[in-house]
Amino acid sequence: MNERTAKEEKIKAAYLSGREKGFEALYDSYYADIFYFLLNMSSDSELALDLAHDTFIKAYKQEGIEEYKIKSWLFKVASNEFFEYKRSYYRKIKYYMNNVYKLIEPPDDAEAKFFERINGIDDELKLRASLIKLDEKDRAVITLRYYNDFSYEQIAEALGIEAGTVMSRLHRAKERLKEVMKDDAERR
Amino acid sequence: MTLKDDRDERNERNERNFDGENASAGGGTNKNDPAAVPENANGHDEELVSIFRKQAASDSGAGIDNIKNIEYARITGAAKRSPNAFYYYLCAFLLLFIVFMAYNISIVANEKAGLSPSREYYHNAYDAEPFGETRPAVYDDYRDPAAMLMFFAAEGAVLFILMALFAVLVRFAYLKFSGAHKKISVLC
Repeated sequence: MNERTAKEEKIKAAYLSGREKGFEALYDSYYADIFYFLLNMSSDSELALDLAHDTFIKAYKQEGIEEYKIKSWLFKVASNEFFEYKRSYYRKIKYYMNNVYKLIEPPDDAEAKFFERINGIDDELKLRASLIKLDEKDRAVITLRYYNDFSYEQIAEALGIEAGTVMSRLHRAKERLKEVMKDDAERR
Repeated sequence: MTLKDDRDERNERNERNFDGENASAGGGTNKNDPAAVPENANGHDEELVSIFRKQAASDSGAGIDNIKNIEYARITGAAKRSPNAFYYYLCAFLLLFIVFMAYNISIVANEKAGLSPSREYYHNAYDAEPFGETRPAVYDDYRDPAAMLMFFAAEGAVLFILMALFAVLVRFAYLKFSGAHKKISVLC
């Protein structure tokens, strides 16, 4: 049994003890992965936090999670949240309203310091600045493959596409990312 | 043949085609291509692997654990709240609108019955004398139904917007002064 399967089995067992325990195990195992996936997709740490928040609310309300492949399902919800945000004006308004609220009540110190560190890392490494120039669907595939270490089948499940489509998008995404990184390096 | 068999065959065909394309495009499987980037046994591009791994290592040092606990409380708190807030708002709006409409209608009815000395309520909103092609909504005892409908609809729209603004302001005030979780959406 590999490490990933052991994690999923642990979460399924926690759900048998009750939904609260199950959700706690799920959250503990996958929050960081989901947050960084959404951050790679959006290059906006506050948006990634909001979308991760909405993803885990859906996970919390989900009944009967044990019949799904947990990790792929969770990433599927997260990617749907991201694509829904890009499509929906209402979601954009909701996000901007939350930002307006922050003018009245600034975020916690811990949150502010975390965002500062993330922005510092992005300024130094520039990977996310290059990733954002890719098409969203290609970005999702390359992030899941290289950052989250998903197999082709897991990516196909998470994005609701065929494994063959995953491979062709991955190939295109790799070529495009290298081009973009080369152009960015030349400009600097 | 079952659907699953068809899909497996299609995926295998796509894999073979993809590998062929990858080789001809200068990808890692073509050893004669000087531009080929070495790929490891998993088919990963080594250059991209190292870039993404560096990013992941930096991200893990950002200290996401600090905000994980804060977010957990917000997520479980938000998930437990009533999802019906919008419908309560809609009911309150309809109730107020009906009361407002009843008030308007009673004024018009009283004026028609001659019980009210003043005809200023609607009179001021429209021209007393017709001029040109424009027929005002109110002159003598005539009230143009279409114009009155537009008038009531405009009143309803203004009422709706004012109530929405009021609800948002109340929520801001509640969140600021109650010390409640800061990231709860202000629109739901």
